[in-house]
Amino acid sequence: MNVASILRLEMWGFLVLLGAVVFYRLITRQINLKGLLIRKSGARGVSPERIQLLLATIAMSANYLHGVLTSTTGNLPDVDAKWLYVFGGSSAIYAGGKALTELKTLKGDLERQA
Amino acid sequence: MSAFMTTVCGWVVCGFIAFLAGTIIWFIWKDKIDLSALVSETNGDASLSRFQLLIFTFVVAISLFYLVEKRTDGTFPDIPSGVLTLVGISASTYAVGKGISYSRDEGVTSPEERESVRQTAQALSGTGATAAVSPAATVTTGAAQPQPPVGGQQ
Repeated sequence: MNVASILRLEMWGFLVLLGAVVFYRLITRQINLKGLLIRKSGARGVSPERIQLLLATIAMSANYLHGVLTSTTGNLPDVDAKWLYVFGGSSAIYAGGKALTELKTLKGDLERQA
Repeated sequence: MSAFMTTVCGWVVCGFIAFLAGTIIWFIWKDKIDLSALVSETNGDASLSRFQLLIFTFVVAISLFYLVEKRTDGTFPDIPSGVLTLVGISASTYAVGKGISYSRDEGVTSPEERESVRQTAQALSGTGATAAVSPAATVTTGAAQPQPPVGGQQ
């Protein structure tokens, strides 16, 4: 076994172990996930715009990883325009929903002060 | 001699990387590197944007390492414009979200901090002091000086 093979093993080992430790801590709640899908202002409840952004992120990541694993050229695969539209739309819905909630909360605060 | 030095340097790099990677993993496992607030905001809640960035970081790291290993010419693969656009969308959403969140006190302080400031302000209100309350601090002029009674005896 030469040095290059050992280095390759070390790097894969590091990436896999780091991913495993972070994943383990996420599922055992040792990494704080409190309020990840909860609306932060106004009526605190599960936020649909957060759920759709999380699903879009997971779908996008899985699609890209699939593209990498099936790549025959050895280059990073480009992201299809359709996926970019979907992800951009999802992010816009999230940001728009957040802005709308904040505006409603702000309006309520001002009405209470008046 | 040159081949010998190359081999020695290779093993030194190999040992250093192994030591560094092992130390990082060990410190994380033993909580000497604290990851509990890895995706948390200032106010204690988890942030979806940070979580998204965590996922993208792992995806890009795994993809890049997989492809570098697969290439035979020993070069880094080019980054296509679609990937840059994707990261740009993610970063822009993060920035916009933070801008919205940080425009109000609830975005930058925890409920405990706000309650503490509220209690301090309530306590000060009984002393006659002038108090200015902000999420960061409570500033007061101190209690009002007692005034001598007008025309009273010394």
